[in-house]
Amino acid sequence: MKRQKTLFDLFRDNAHKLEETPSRQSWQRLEARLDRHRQHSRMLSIRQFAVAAAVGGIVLLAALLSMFTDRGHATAYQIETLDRNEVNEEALEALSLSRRFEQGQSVAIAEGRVGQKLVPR
Amino acid sequence: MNEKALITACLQEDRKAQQALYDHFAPAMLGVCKRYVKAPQDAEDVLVEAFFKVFTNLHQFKGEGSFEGWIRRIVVNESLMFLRRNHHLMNHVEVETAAGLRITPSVHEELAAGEILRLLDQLPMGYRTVFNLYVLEGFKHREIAELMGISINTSKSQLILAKKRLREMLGVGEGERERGREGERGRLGEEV
Repeated sequence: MKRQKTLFDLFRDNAHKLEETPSRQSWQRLEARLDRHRQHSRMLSIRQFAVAAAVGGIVLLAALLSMFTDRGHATAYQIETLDRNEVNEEALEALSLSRRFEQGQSVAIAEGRVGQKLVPR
Repeated sequence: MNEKALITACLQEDRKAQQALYDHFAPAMLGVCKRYVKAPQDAEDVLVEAFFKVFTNLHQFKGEGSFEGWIRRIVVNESLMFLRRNHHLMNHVEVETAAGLRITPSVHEELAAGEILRLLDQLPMGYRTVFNLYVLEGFKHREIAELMGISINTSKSQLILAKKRLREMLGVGEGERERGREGERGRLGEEV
């Protein structure tokens, strides 16, 4: 004997009858939506590439600037030998005296042992 | 073209493959939308939105389960989102009356598409959604509660009330009701 269908069976067995081909416009709307999405994705990719390129360019520019700036500092402190006529004799003598004084200061005075005293040479 | 090849082509945004996939699954999925959403135009809107999500999230399909099941899940979610957006799921109170509508299934216990829709249309949106999710999608009450943002007990009570209302409309007698109860015991016994 055929089993009596339950309420749930009645709906489950007949639900497929609701299947229906959608209107042609629904695919056209979906297609338009997918086109916009593709365009948007491409624009986003281009924008991301542009931002990455700009950041890269800025970093490169900063590196180059830094390199040239360092080279400029090095030339500013380069030592050059003066020409004979550029030498100021008085200044040179004063410098020599100053250096000798500094050397004299830096040499420790030998005080000698007990029973000895310090006298001028 | 088999299903796997169709999916691969769709992943490469091949428009013809996308249309072929849409043409293949859209009729069944429109049937799903119509069970949740009353107005035919709204059902098509939900279908378009759901297929847009299918195509733009296709890379997430790992090929482990049924592809149709994966699409159906998206369609159901999209239908629920539509109902939520339009505040239909807030309507848990019976606002419609079944008085005057009485559908008698044919001797072969068949329901025509129009009859199914008319019966579902007579249910308040909460009953209708729970009934669809439980009976036709096979969700558990716990899952329905999560999907709809309601309690498990609300889900259970809405299913019971939906059944009661449908039985009234179908004119199911007491004897048949008892038999129906026995038949559903396996499923309802563990859930309700």
